[in-house]
Amino acid sequence: MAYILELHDICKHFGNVLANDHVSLKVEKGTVHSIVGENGAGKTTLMNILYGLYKQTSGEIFIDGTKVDIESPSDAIELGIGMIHQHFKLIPAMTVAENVMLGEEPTLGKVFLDLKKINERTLELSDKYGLAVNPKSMVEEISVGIRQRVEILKALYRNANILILDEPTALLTPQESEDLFRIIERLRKDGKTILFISHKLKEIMQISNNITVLRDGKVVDTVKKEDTDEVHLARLMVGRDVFLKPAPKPKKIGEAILRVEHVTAVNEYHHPVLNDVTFDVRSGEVLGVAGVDGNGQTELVKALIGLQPLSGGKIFIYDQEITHLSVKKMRSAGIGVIPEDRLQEGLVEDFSVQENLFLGLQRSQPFSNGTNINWGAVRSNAEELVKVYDIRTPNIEHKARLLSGGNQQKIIVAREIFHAPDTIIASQPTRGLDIAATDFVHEQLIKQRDAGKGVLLFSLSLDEIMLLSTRIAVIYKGAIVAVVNKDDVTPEDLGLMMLGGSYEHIPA
Amino acid sequence: MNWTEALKAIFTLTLLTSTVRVSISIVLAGMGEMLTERSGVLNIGVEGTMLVGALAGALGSYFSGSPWIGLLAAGLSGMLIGLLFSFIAISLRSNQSITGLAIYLLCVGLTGYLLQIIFEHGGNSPMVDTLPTLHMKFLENVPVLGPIFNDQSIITIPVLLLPVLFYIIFYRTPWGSWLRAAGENPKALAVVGKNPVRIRYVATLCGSFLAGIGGAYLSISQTSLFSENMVAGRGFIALSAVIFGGVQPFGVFLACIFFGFMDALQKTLQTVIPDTLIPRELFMSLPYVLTLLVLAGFIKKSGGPADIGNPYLKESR
Repeated sequence: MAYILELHDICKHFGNVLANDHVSLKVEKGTVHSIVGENGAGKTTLMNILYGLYKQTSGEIFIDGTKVDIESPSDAIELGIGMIHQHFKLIPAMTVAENVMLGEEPTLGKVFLDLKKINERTLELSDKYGLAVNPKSMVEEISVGIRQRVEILKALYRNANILILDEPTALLTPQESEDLFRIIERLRKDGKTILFISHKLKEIMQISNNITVLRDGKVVDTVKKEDTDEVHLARLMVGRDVFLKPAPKPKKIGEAILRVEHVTAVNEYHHPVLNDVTFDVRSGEVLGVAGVDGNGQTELVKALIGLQPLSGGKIFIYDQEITHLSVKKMRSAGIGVIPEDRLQEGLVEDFSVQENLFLGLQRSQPFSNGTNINWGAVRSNAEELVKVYDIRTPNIEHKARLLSGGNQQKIIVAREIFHAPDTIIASQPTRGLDIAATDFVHEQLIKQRDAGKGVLLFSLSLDEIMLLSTRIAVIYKGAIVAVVNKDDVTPEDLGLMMLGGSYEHIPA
Repeated sequence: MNWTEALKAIFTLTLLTSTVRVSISIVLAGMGEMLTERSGVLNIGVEGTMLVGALAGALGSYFSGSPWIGLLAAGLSGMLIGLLFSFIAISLRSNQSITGLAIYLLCVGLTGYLLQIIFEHGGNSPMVDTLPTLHMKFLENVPVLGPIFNDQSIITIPVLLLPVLFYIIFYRTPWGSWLRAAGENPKALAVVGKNPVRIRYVATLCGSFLAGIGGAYLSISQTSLFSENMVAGRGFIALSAVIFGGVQPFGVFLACIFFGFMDALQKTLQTVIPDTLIPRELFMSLPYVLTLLVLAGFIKKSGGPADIGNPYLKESR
């Protein structure tokens, strides 16, 4: 068997941390080879070494049986390695074609850009692999899915034979992911070798030929797809049995805590974004809001925490109307939120763990007497929460930005639960988290449910909605089109309703 | 004097001639700063670079007897200041605004000091030879254009063509692509094997060269001596013209001419309207007040490079 790529005993140290520990790997030509592992398992580090962004501390790389030295991305490109980064390396203010050709532009007389050829060649390449991009579009105007294809084109234009895709579906919608898998299959059939980095087991099982599992920087195993399944892979990744299992049935459902009545809102262009939204969240239940991204979820969350001006309707916590209150007053009325974008809205990245753990509570007892902050109380509370929620941080003075996504999310979850609201609004609470962290967040939400709180869950993942919800509300074009009991629907029913289909035999 | 007469006295051909004359130094500095900013570097020390250029121009002309040597000395000394700025702001990755401010203050002090020790008195340098003017026979009988462009400084026409040159560089050459990429997302440039740091250096040095020339235009063309602080805010005006013009060649060019026009206008108003009616200081403040208004109104929608002002660090994620 011809191996296009072999890694022998790759080690990479960052200071005292061993990110890759004697990683050895063989990749067959013309296959999709997945590298899987939890966040922090060393997947991205390994790929950055392969692409010349980092230099390995020790170990050897062979391409087509020849030992190679990769010092920079230019070396990698020359060796036929292309990388599609998780965070795209594109220039939004330039066209698709300009981005594809950047650094290797065809010229007229070596001085001027050959604009015609730039567009033609991009179109040629795009057609050859069925990528369907318009060379003349500005990158800032195209969707995330198409931007990713531009990255793929960049690699293909540079004659890449080995394509590294680093968590390529992290930012894609389910439909865009399916399109991507079709493109990957087409590339593979054309003889390209794909290195696919992910921690999503479903998609790994869907597209891989071979799978290498990393844990704590080490290779745990390399398996053929035929010889494994999701449960087996999850065990290899986490090192113990994990099942993301449906939450147990709620014990006792009580009265409505949060009531939303006929809420409407418009955006800055006066288009309606929330359209007569009515629902309630009861004590002891999780109400899941299912919908395709962009149907008003973001605005609804904002409305519930006081950041979205309403043009009509009312919001109540028990019998207290909180409709036009400030964020601070809404929070103290009993609303807690785990926001969608944890870095923008959930944390102050450059604050320490302990400061983030009492964010928003600077004027509440026991952290403050009204004027001065009681740092002793802040510290002891932080120490306590770090222990209870298993936040992995060297110490509580550590900056939040230096922690992993899972641990950042734990800070937010810990703080919002500590704040003890009656209703917890969780918006995409596990986006980008690995299995263990996802499991943890789910467990906490269910705990709050069972403590008699109302949990309002927004998620783009139907799986997550089905796992956690007691009832499910479907949001479509800014309106709640149905509220159903979880046990009465299938994911297919929900999918239909999310796209605007009606569902006759279930009373809304 | 009634209103019609006053307006006639103000809006004359001379006003346009004077607009071109006073715009040249702003256009030079503005084009240079636009180049620098396109690469992602904000150099607010232009004013200082121009001052050094003005002094170097005068010194070069004084000691060699040739204003051309003065012009070259101005460009090169501008580059030297640009190199100092680049080293601190690009290589050492200091805050670009603070660095630019420090460079400006350094240049104010340095030019005053050098003037003092070279000529043993402050204030002004002695008179120096100036750049020739250009008289084009075929323009003599052309109305409007003739009086405006004839007998202007010899560098006027080339300077007025700079926006065309920069448009071609920015949008029609590979290097221009890389330059814009360096200003928008230097990491995207780095992963395709180009070095953003080198591009930022080149852009800043060339931009400073132009600012130096812009300063020299004041001392060896518009006047014939160096006087302390003679740039008088033109560097800062050029900075706001770059924002006003959206960091695009023609936009910045027009903005520079606009500010030049305002300067020419205020000078005319001073002579036409009696000092007893409106104090001339009020007119003198006109370009600066305008700069302030422009900055307040346009700074958010300028559409400049996305990564401007951010130091580029290879290892960071």
